[in-house]
Amino acid sequence: MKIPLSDSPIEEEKKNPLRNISNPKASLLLTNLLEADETEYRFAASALKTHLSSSLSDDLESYECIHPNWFDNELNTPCIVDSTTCMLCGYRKYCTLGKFDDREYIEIIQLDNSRMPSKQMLQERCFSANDSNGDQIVIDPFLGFTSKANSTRRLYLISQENFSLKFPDNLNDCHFDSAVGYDVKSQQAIWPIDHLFLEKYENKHFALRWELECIEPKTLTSGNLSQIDQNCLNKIAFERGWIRPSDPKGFFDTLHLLMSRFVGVLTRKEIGGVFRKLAAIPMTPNFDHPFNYSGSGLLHLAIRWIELKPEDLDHYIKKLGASDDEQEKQEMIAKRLRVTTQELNSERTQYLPRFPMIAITSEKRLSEVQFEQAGGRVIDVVITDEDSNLLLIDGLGIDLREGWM
Amino acid sequence: MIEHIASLIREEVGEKVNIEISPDTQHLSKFGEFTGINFVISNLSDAVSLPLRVRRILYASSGDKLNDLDKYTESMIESARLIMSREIGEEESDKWATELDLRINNILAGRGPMGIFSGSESLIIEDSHEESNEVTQTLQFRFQNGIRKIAERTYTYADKKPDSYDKYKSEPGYEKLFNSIKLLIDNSETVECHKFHHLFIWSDLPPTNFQPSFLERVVVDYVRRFRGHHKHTAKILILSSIANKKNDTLNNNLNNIEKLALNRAFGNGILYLAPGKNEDLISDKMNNISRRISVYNNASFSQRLKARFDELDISQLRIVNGLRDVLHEGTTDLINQSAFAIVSDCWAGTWTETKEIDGEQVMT
Repeated sequence: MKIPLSDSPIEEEKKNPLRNISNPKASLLLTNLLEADETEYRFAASALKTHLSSSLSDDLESYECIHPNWFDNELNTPCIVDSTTCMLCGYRKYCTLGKFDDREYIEIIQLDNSRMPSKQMLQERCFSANDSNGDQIVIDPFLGFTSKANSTRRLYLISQENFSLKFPDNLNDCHFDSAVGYDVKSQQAIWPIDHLFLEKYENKHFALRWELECIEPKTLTSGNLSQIDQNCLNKIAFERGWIRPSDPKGFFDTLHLLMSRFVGVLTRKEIGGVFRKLAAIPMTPNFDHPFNYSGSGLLHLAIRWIELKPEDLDHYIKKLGASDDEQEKQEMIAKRLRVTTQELNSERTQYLPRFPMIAITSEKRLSEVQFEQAGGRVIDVVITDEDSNLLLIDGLGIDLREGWM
Repeated sequence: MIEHIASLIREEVGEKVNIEISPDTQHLSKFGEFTGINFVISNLSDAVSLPLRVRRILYASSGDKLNDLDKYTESMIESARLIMSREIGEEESDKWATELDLRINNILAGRGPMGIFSGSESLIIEDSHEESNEVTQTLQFRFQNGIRKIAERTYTYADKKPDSYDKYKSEPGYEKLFNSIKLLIDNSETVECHKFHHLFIWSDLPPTNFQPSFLERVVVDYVRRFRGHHKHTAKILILSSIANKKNDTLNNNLNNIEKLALNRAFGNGILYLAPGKNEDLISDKMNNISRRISVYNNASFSQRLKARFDELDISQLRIVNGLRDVLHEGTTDLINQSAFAIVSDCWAGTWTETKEIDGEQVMT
């Protein structure tokens, strides 16, 4: 389905100019046409068309007229016209054949088998507003949410259920208002501090991995986080289920030691201070990271590192080489910390922005609308009579068909 | 109720401020014509479209007015980029300049041009210190690798304080950057920054059924608490009665779209309580003496308040999380009906109130 982003009429084909005609009979028939009154006009136009059609050469672009009756042709007889003879047709003004539609448009692509709302409903409820005179105008509802607003692009339509299945976040039990993106591989929302961390991580991940390998179990035998960080870690650990009330005494110490080692790696001289600098940025709970608790920036970075890059946690365990007892404990806590990831085709985008979306729903399903979701944000709600709960998504330049269809 | 709240706001802010009541949700272009400070008062249900409304105002109207500033911001970015390119190379400085451009756009959309020069996210920082009779002011710029002094000026108390960035002497190497900043601030001052305060209201009773001084208190607080430097603020105001007797039910409740709209509220708002004339704490002389404590200790009042939350089906919503209580203690115009009000912030389409993010962009 295509929805034009403008009210302007379709323009005449620019690359198909009129042809030159120079013969006395054509002049005569043209004069006849110009002088014809309303009743004679069609006959005069038909006569001129018949005459001009005889000189239609193969190198001219021609097409079959869909109103052959205008030219007195039999309905089942093909009536071939070119841009010159086509303009003699009485339906020319209303016909799109031979015209060139260069208006910007939105193409709506369905990502599942949900019932597509009618074009009229979408045009009237999603793509219309009134101007200062009260006249209806066409708008792009995603203006301000994408730099591609008001230009030709694809929007995607999917049911809320399928969107939630595709973009779940079973890790972060919090509000997603300030999340800025989505990690397809680990299926969780990305927060501002994650985004900044991942940027730095891309340049440093070999060094970080190397430093993880260099951890000497004998050098750091117990956690060294500050008391504030320990309290913060304790709360997050209970919330995440890393620590359970039934755990043996001292289990937290194992987590504390693991986290201290990761914090230690982030601050290593060899890493160059980039994460130390990042950790110094003020972090607001629930805004910059998904936690409701405040600890040092380094602790939050270490936690999110483990959650966003669980393969590094595996690497740490694999290379630790601690005594049997410690190794067992570290493996046990790492198992709880380990975020499950899904296999990702190497060509697929791992990190997505949070998509702006319009919810199209029925009155009785309004309660199912979620404004803030891990994968997107609902910017408007349109109520329809149809029993559906759909999302119209701006992919922000990302082809959402990838991995969907 | 909307008209009544609008008239109370009018009394508080005066005639110069535009107050728009229940704008047609389809009539978005109209906002582009508003100038100066605007209060836009709507039904609660309209809050479902709040992000679309705010972004539309920001990008469909004021964008044109701000375009004039583009050449000055571009010149500033280019001057800063040239300085950085000598230190970190062309490629890195280009990348930084792109980020800087994005950051400026976000500041312009969120706070207007003056956001470049003041506030926690500003790019230019003016600092001053005094020694004996002399004031030294420094102008600093936020480069990729930290804040650096780019100009300085000194004046004594006997002198007239220089205007704007007059009499600043740029540091060697920063002349071009300083000149571009000066041009930017000179032109920024002439660009009007329009502000919109969106208020979404729901009430279960007409205004005459609420204590007049209570409504006035809520509105005055609202007007005085809005953050003046933000281009857009948005709040939800819920005004509701509380049953006078236990087990009484009140019939006016939120409909589905209104309940959904409440999800736009962040929570951590203010809960205003206005006990009615017949509450024990008013009629009982002892309770009346320590009225504030009595209200909070009054189990019946608390239970009926909780029951009303449940009736409205808002007990599980974020709007009631982290509420701060405020007791309305006006007794001269007491009425029988007890009531409460909740005022809570909503996301207004931009994240300028936080330090690091704006919209979907992360800012360092």
